[in-house]
Amino acid sequence: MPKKSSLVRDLESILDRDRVISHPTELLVYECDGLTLSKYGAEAVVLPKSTEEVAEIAKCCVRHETPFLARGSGTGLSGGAVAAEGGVIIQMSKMDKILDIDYDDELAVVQPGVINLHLSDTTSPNGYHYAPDPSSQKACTIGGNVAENAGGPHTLKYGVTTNHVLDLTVVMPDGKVVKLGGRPEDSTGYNLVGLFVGSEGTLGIATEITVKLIRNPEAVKTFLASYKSVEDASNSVSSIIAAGIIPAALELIDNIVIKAVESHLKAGFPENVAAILLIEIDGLTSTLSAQAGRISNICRDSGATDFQEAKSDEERDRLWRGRKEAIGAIGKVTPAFYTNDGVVPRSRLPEILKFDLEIGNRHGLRIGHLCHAGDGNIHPTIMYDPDDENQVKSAIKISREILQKCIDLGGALSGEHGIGTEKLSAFKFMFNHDDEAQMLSVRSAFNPSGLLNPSKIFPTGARCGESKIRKTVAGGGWL
Amino acid sequence: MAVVTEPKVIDPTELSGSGQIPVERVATPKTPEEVAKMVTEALQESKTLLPLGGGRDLFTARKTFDIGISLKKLTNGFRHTPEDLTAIVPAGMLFSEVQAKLREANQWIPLDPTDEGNSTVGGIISANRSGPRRHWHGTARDWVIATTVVNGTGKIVKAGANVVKNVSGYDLNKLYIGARGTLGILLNMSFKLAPIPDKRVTFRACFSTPEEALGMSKQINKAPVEVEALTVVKGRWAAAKAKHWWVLIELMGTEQSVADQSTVLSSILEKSSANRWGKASEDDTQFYWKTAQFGNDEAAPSSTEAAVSIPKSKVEKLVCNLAEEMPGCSLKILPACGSVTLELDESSDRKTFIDQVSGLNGAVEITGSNVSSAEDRWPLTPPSLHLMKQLKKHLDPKGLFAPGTFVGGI
Repeated sequence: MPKKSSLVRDLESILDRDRVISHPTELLVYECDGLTLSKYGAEAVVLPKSTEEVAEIAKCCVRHETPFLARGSGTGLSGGAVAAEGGVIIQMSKMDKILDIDYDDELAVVQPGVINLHLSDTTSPNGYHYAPDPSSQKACTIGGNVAENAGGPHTLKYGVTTNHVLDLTVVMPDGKVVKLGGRPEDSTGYNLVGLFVGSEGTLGIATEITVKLIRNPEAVKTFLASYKSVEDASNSVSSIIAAGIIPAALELIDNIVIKAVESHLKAGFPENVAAILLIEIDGLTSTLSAQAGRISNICRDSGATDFQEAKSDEERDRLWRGRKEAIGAIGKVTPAFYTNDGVVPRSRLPEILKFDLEIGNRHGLRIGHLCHAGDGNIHPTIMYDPDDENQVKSAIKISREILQKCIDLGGALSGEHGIGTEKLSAFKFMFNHDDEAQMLSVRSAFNPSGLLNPSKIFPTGARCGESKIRKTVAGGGWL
Repeated sequence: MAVVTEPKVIDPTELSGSGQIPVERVATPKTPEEVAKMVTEALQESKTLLPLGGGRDLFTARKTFDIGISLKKLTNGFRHTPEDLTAIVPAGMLFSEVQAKLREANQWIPLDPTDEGNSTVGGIISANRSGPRRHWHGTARDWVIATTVVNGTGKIVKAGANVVKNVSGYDLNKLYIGARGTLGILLNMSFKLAPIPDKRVTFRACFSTPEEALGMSKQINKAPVEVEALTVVKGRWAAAKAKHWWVLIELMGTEQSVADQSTVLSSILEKSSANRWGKASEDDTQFYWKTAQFGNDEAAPSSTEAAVSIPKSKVEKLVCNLAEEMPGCSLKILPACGSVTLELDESSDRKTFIDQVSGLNGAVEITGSNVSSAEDRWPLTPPSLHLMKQLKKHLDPKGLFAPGTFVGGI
């Protein structure tokens, strides 16, 4: 057992000893998140149970001039929840209580370690749910969702995390505790909650989160449309949006992913097609039939060879399980994969998907797609052999070129996973020096020492610490 | 200041709709680069700037500023992409003009703030204004996806992108919305758009007491209907002689769906204690909503209004207290948003009222000709005010943009 540092000893004076992890072997788990391409070593991982403990940990790190950051379940895909410059990871999993549910005000107060799906499971019997539903919702935490402004299939209609957070208790980088926002929707002054959500844990650590709950829809219909080409499927997506229809969810899955899903999950996806669309509409029973008819016509007009409605709740659940657990299925058909989070304007979907296919062919790597197509969030999944250095390099190169293409098409670098460490070098594709300086000014106002979660989002001043590409097994990413 | 004399310096009183503006000069730049140049020159000459939209919501805290920057000529660069349901809009375009253009493709920015036709998009976003359809559509913070501003160092900077989902860099859009021009000068904004519903129908129901009106609102909110707007109004925001609390409900959807929903709503209202209720004719619909936004023609303009935001479960308590303590008080309520606007007259005990809002964990903004300081306008300061001041210091280090006009004297 290596000798404990003074930092670790100080952390052990704040928490019980069993909530401070410093043994190198135990720290390996925290070296990466869903992005397994690069890994970083932390000096310690701590597991606080309260806001006060998080505040004391932050003050301790400041005294030791040591970087620190918060981490949820580590399901992100951008290398955000890693100790890029070493230091302390504050693992929030023991702060997992739903503190209050108020149906009159249609809100819930949760600790950051609450698993996303647990909240909806708790409120559903009363007719309410929490709208953001990342595919990782069985595992990811609401604190992590806040850091990354997480989305999910149903955010097409209901909005992403930022649209559902009312107020936050935050431990600032100097250890002070502050309340941002408020229960009334129009809290006074600058909208600090809106700024904080999606800031990738660089402005503070949320320790209590008040989120909106929304009523469950009266009726839901789920459809599966099949296509003989990815281009036809993506044209359908563009046509549905262009017709002014906003489904609750509109997902595109290509044949590579369909086959992986059917091999391992038996979701009922047709295997002999190039792509499928999983389309869901919800709302009043009286509105759905007409909307379903319009969508069916659009899909058929743009080349759908089949258009089926899920006939039961079981069938609907099976289709969604196929979508939400698809990434796990991909992990079983390739030794490793690298997922990309680029976004394009929805009308440019056919172009970017064509580009992906071409670039995959050019580099000799397979690329599967399971897109949040209605949002233009493309999620190509680049499959590679981690033992083949050339393939690793090609995967990184492909992802970078896709990001550049997304920007060229008027899109963005990330739809729901953030920049993290992964896209530091791509930041300049989208923002110039002045744009970055403006954001860094904001960071300085909150995090002047830069000790909280350094080397994330912004390339200027970022150091890549102990980053190293390692041989990896298939990642556990979620899309 | 070269740019101020070219394109033009105008007399402040010439600026339509803005009334008396406490600036020495007003400049009307036509391009983002001209705005940036003005800011750079103001930095060099230590001048203060007051960004100007249509002037409806302008608040100057009775301070004077060196230069007013009217953005009304910053109107180039509008780009609507109907197939993406997005639009890029220059800050100086009139909001009504933008909505008219979008309507051609059956789309709109789903915000319906009170607007006499001279509000600019930049002004509406800077003041984070919305209207009764906020009930369904939310506020500007739900619809703005990208912004370009001139910042406190004179640089043109952007945040966000023209896509509907994005976590690339900080979401500075959220900061600029509602910042009233104190963090920079908005040049353009990108919006997500919504399709205009096929059909809208308005119902009005009249109740004797606030408890009945607000109880009905709650019942409707839980009913199987899609309500685009629901507001409870009394006094100047109802008809001149109205004695009752009006509940105005707007349903939306397809023709068939609205017909079905109308049946559901009628059945609810039929069983209610409403003195009168019914589906409004087209003329009445226009009259009701116009009155609910602008006030009735016979009412004197209100001198002082308070916009309260409280948890929605506390709305009934506050409104019933106000009805008892200020029986003649005009009220406009969006129950599902926790929003209560009321008219404060000279006899109102303002301190008791503010204490009451504070006791309900609420926020309040008071507007009117006798509101002279930021402290009067926002009497309840948020616990994170120190962070807001810190942000202002970092983003506007020389204190160029409308200093002293925002919360806590920011």
